[in-house]
Amino acid sequence: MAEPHPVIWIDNVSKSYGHVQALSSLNLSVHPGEIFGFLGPNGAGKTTAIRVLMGFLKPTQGIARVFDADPWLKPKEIKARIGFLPDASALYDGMTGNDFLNYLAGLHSRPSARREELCDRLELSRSDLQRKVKGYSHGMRRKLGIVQSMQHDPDLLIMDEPTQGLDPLTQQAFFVILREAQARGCTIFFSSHVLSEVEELCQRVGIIRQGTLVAVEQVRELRRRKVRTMEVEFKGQLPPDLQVEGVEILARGDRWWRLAIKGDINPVLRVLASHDLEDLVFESPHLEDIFLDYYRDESVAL
Amino acid sequence: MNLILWQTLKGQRTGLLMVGLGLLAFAVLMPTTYTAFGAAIGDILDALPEGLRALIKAQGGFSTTSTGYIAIGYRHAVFIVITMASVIAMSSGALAREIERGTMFLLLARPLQRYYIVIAKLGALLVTVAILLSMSFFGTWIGVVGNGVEGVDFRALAFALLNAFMLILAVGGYSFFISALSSEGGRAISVAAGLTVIFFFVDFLATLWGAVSFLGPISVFHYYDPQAVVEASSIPALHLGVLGAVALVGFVAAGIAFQRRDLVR
Repeated sequence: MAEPHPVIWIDNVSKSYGHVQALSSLNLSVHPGEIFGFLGPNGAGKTTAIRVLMGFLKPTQGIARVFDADPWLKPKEIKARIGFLPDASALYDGMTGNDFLNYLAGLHSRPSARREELCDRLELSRSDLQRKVKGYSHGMRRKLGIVQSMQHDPDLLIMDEPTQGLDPLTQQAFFVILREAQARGCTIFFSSHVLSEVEELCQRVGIIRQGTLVAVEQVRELRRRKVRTMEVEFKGQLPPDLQVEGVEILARGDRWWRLAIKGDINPVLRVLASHDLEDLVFESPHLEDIFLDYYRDESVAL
Repeated sequence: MNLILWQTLKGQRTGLLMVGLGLLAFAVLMPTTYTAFGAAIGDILDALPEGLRALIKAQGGFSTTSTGYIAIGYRHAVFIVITMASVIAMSSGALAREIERGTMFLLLARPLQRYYIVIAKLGALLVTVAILLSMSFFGTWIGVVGNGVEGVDFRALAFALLNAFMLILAVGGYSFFISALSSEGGRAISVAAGLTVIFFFVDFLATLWGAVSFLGPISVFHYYDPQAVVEASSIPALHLGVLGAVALVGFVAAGIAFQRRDLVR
């Protein structure tokens, strides 16, 4: 079956400001209905990439396409289908929450069909919305930002660090909202440096470092490729050795081994199954470990 | 476009009201003071040092009529500072301040062309300037009627205000252009204000000092002479043309620059 036509397609995009190379030969595609996480620490180039996608920046080199159109040349056509949440909680402080949402809704071609539902679920009450934005807490500002980006039920959501300032309960409510949007066919592209949320939400992630994309993978594939540790405690005598490809004994005690396992775990499990075991601890790999690997080793993938 | 224009006006309504009332009060003051010592205005001006007279362009053929006296107000520091500060703050901040606080990214995330925002902001500027000058004109009328000042030629004063309107548009034009290039409202305002002060003093020095009089035409203030306008009851076409051209070039350049620039904070 043919690959679905990507909603976002970035081909060899670079962006520099004078001598500063903010993005370097970025290649990326995001498919319809996908939740894509764009990972990297502050200053890695996430916001620059998002601004290229939104048509705020012109790439120095390369091509960016959103819904098959160039966001720099055809912003109006594209943005009718996009919901965007910028990195900072940039709002009109002199307006009430309601006025703010009405103002931005009035500039859109689609009706704000989901506003009420979003406000309810993010716990922005009517009285909150009647207050001036300058009196809002950081979390409330973020919620208002999320509502403005999603109130018109966009086909593509581009969000820059969307969970900044949200408390854990609101974060969970927000993730449910995103999953429901995805179920309706919305494609979601969001940047973050909080690895747990990307891990919880995304099918694929891109990891960016110093303007260069160092990995784009399915989350489960990244996990699979990660060297993981397993602790095995034997009931009886220790086996003399372990000869399994991709498995190394990191440490050993009287009745235990700590193993490093890379790739498929089934061969080692088959060997271990022939022994009596007291215990076996094999933690699921966290994206954080994988992410840190990319950042710890300067030579990786560059 | 109407929504952005309306929202821009709404956002500055308090400032607009205060500045408008200030201009109105100042405009009431001019006819009021005319009744006190207007008849002696010619002698008063003759007694002033040449530098001070140059500041209000009151050398040479100066009209000592009630209309001429009221027109001094349009060249007075209070009027110049209030109108210039307002137009510079509004024009310079129009685009740059929205970028600085990040709200421009919200506007441009809607299905809008960039020039649409420029035109809406320009519309808000034109409405603001028209309201301010109308309040000034209304203040003059209140002062004239309230004090029973006779012989005031309101048509000539309207021409003087039209000259002020064109000067304000010219300043607004280059301020808008500076704003379109900048990502910081404060910096855009500083540059535009600095340029305006330079223009003012170039005109002042050119008026005062014959050796540098050739520099006068490079200043927008050279084309703003309310006394001469009320004296002739018309504005020289060259003055209208130059101020109009500066405004037009500024606004068009702002539109092009904003359309092509990267938006970064």
